[in-house]
Amino acid sequence: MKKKWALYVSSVLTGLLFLAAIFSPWIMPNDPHAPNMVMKLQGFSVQYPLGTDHLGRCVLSRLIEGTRVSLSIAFVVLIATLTISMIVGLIAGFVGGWIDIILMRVCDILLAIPNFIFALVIVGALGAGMKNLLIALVLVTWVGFARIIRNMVKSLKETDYVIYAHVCGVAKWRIITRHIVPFVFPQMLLLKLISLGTTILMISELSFLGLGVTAPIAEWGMMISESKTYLTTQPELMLIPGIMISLTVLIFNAFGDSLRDVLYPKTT
Amino acid sequence: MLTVENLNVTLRNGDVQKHVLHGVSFSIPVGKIIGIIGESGSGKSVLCTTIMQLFRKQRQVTGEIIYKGQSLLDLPEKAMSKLRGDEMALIMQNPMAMFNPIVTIEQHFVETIQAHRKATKKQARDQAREQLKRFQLFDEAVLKKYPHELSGGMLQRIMIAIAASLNPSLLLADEPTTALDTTTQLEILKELRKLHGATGMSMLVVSHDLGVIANLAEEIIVMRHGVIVERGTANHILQHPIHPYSQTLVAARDEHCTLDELTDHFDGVITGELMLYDENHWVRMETRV
Repeated sequence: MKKKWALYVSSVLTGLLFLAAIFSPWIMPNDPHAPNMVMKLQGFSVQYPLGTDHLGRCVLSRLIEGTRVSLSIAFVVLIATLTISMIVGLIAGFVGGWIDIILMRVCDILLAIPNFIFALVIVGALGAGMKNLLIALVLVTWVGFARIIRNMVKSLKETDYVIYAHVCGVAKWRIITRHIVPFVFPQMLLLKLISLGTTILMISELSFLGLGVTAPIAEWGMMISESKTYLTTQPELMLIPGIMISLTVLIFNAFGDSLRDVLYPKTT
Repeated sequence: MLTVENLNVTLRNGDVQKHVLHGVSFSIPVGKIIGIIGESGSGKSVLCTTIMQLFRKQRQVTGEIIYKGQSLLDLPEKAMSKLRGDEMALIMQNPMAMFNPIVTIEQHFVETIQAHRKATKKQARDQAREQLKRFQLFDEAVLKKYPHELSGGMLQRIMIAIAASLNPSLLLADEPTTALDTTTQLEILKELRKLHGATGMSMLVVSHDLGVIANLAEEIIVMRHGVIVERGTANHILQHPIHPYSQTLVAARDEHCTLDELTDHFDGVITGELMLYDENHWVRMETRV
């Protein structure tokens, strides 16, 4: 089947990205932070497979470290937003009443602000750095998911088996964990996986603007930003991380989409 | 055991309000089976769920529901939740939709048992197994199955088994046979009779099928448009229905017509007062215009 084929390819590529991220200290050919001014702005060679940047650092090693940074940030953001939006969505949807109204109005307000600008403001206020980047991304992305979860919970609450559980006198938290979360969680995880690409893109965007990951840690967006000056003489310094970003986003999107197609064939 | 006094229920859905029960009063004595009959929309199911105090937020209820001396309307949700499934159980219609599709039958048992008894998973499982033996219907393999692997009749029996597993003193059965085919219906009725014989629990059986009610109930309440039209012992009502509406209902059974066909024949408005007609027999006396 065509769908399955897409899933196999994209999951292998996703797996490779994660392997590269996990084993990055062992597969990097050179120290990504060690400058070597004698060898700066070199082309491809055996010692530096993808050349060196303006400080003579190995581009391939920095690319691999960038994978590790991007994926780990994206992963932490995924877990944090999933937790926050699950909690908010479950409370709003299940409890209802004025708690629901207040939480959803907060969501409305946050949704009204464009994501990227909101993230810029937060990082701008807190200062650049990996921790603040994380905070900004989490604050920006939990909102939409909380809304989706809340709506799912609201409709699940009306199903016959939830009513039946009530009839049997099952406690509320137990109804939530047994009859609601198992239906919400897999779909949410899938949606989050699909949005992983967007998160990675955002990390790179903010780092490109100098608001994300700070030097000396290598990050793709930052690598592009650093090599702006050499655009005419050494375009590959910008092209290589650029291609890496596009590829990663593409792989994650394809992975999420094909996973959804296989798991929920009716919804597409 | 359960006394319902002048119960009025209004359903609220946003700004829309619908008055579905008007001054309903009756009581269920210990160990008796009371049957409620009425066509669709007469408020039978609302009555059941109101007794169980479900959907409290969407309903405006006045009157009294007194169970073993305590008023259920004043009972806080937590205490009510303790009663549900333990003291009073409800069997609902459409068993196919009532079980969570991703949870096994065994887990459904365990869930109800653990909600009310301090039992480990293993103890609860053993109790579920015993319960199945008591019903002599299934082998243990059923416990490991998922709801979609079983038929509607099986699921209804399992629902009865779950309801009976904590020995409730009151069992409400809301259209227990409606979604099932005729032979299965008979088996379910047999099951309920057996359960009543074995435990002597009080039951309230609600149905639009007079056959079901006649089979089980000792006392019958006839309802239409949210009011009680006639109330009396089963013999009285089945043999000498007084109210014209009850007469059409009984005629419907004797002539083997569907209820909907015949109830259309009765289009009178019910206005009369509920009056004592005979011993234990109340009828709403219509003043004919």
